[in-house]
Formats: sequence, structure tokens, C-alpha cells
Amino acid sequence: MSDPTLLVLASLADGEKHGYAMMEDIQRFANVRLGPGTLYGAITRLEQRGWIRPVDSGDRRRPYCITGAGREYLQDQLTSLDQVVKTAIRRLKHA
Amino acid sequence: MRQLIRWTARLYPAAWRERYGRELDALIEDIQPEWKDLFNVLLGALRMQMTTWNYLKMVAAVGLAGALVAGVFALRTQECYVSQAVMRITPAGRADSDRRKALDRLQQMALVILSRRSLGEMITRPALDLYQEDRKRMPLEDVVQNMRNKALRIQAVAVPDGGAPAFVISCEYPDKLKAQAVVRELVARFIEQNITTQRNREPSAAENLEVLDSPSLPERPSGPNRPMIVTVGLLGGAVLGLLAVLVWRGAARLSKSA
Repeated sequence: MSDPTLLVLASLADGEKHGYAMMEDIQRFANVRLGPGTLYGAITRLEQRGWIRPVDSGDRRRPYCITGAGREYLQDQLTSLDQVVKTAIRRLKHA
Repeated sequence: MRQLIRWTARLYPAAWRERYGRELDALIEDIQPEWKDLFNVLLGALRMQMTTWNYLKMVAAVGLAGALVAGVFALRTQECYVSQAVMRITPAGRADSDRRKALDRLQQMALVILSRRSLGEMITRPALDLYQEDRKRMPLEDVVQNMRNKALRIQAVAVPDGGAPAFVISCEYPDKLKAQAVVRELVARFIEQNITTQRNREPSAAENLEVLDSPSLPERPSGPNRPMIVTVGLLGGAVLGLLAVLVWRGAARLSKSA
């Protein structure tokens, strides 16, 4: 899974994070290093769609949190992905 | 590098920077910047800009991006210096056949001097120690081949009719002193070769080999031509931008008609 949008949503699923914390977290759990341009491209799209929102903070390192709609979207995507993974594993076993 | 990425981040649209600029700058401060981050931010800025740009602006931007990439490439390319010497081979007689013989002899000597064994010895000799980095990552055979094909030149010089054939020996190398040392060595080997092969011949049948210009010490680098590389990058980028616009327009027409 290398879709930056899903990776950012997955990173925010367990609580709010700022850009660098997301980058580190994604590197840790997905072994993918999102560049600054890619990360902020994804954050912009997600905020426009209402799937994440900034948390009020005076800091330049502004944290973001996932919204209800974002959580719902992530859940849908993961369910589809889960189905693909289970099917692929089953087929590999029977091959 | 960090500063370069920060400058590149200024390419994002003003409205976007108003909202996310401070955060992106903070992120750039936090990370360990790499070259790929520079291109990542550049690409991110272009993507954001493309949501607001007209076609002309897009062509100009891709052209500038091409120039930037070419500029980085030009800066990372090592400077090279060319040292050269001029030699002349005087035929044994004035007849055309003597001249042809002299040129044949020259060719034979060049074959021996530029052979794998001869150049391999020159490259690995501690006093010269050429192409250290290349030798770490490729076999000596390939280093010799590259040296022979790219760095060394033995070219005839135009001389008036009937004049003794002259030729230029040149070497291009990132270190000007080593470039000169290589040419000096090649000149010495031509002279040695000539003496060795002439030893068993009648003095009247022997060609005379002499140095007209001794190996030069280049003052200025011969390349890379950085302004030319940046110009090619700019023009190449503009052409790419134009192609992207055409593809974009075609795709937009298709999606409208679908």
C-alpha cells in the first residue's frame, strides 16, 4: 500500500499528529518515506475533502486529526483492501 | 540543500503558501534533507500550481524545472582539463611512398601505445594512479576502454603539401597536472617506440620523430559547458511542457466527449 492519502489517514487513526510525526510514523509502520511535497499534497487533498482537519495550535508544526468522514472512508478502503488480501492469500495457498 | 528546498517551496501558489507554507517550512527544518526531497517539493509545487495555471505558464514552469535539473546536473559534473602536445614524424625521403610508410609507422606505434597493456600500466602506476573511483566499480578493461575512447585523442594536423605529417596528442582529465603527465608519458612512449623500431634499420631509411609543442598545462577547464547544459535543459523542459499541454488538452477533449 503506497497511496499517500490512505497512509496519512492510517497514521492519524490513532490520534493527532503534525507533518514530521506523520512522516516518521508512516516510515515506521509502512516502510514508506513520503517526501515533504507528497505529504503536504495528501494533507491538502484530505483537508479539502473533509477527511482530516487541523487542530488549533499556535505552533508552526500544526497537528491534524482524522474526522468522522475520514474514519468512515478509511474503514471502507481497508475493508476492500482486506478482501483483496484475503482472496490473494487463499488463492496462493491453493495454487 | 535545506535552503535550496526552502527556496523551491516558494514555488507553491501564494494562496497555498498562505495556508500551509509555515508548516511545510517547519517540516523541511525537521527532516534530514536529501536530493530526492528537492525534486519531491518541486513536483509538489508544480502539481499545486497546475491546478491554477494557464497553458503558457505551465510551459514556462516546466522549462524552468528543466533548467533547474540541468543546472544541478551541470554543477555535479566534474570539470575537465585538456592537455596537448604536437609531434611531427619526418619521412625517410621525399617520395609519396616514404610519406605513406611514415604514416603507417605512426599508426603501428599508436596501436602499441594505446593497447590495453600499455594504458593499463599507465592507469595503475602509483605516480599517476588514474581513475581511482572508476576502478573501484568497474574492471580495468572497461576503464582502459573509456580512457582510450573518451579521454585520449591522437589526431593528424593539417600541414602544407609535402610537409612532414604532424599530429596532436591530447588527454582530458579532471586533474590538470595528471592530464599533462599522461600526455608527457604518451609523448615519451612514442619516442621510445620509434627508437626501438628504428634500431635495426639503416639510418637513411629511418623516420625522425620530434616534439613540436611540449605537453601543455591547461589553465582553464575544457568542460562542462554549464550555460549550454542549462540552456538545453530550459529548451528541453519547454518542449516537454508543450507536449504535456497537448496531451492534457487531448485528454480534456476526450473526457468532455465521453
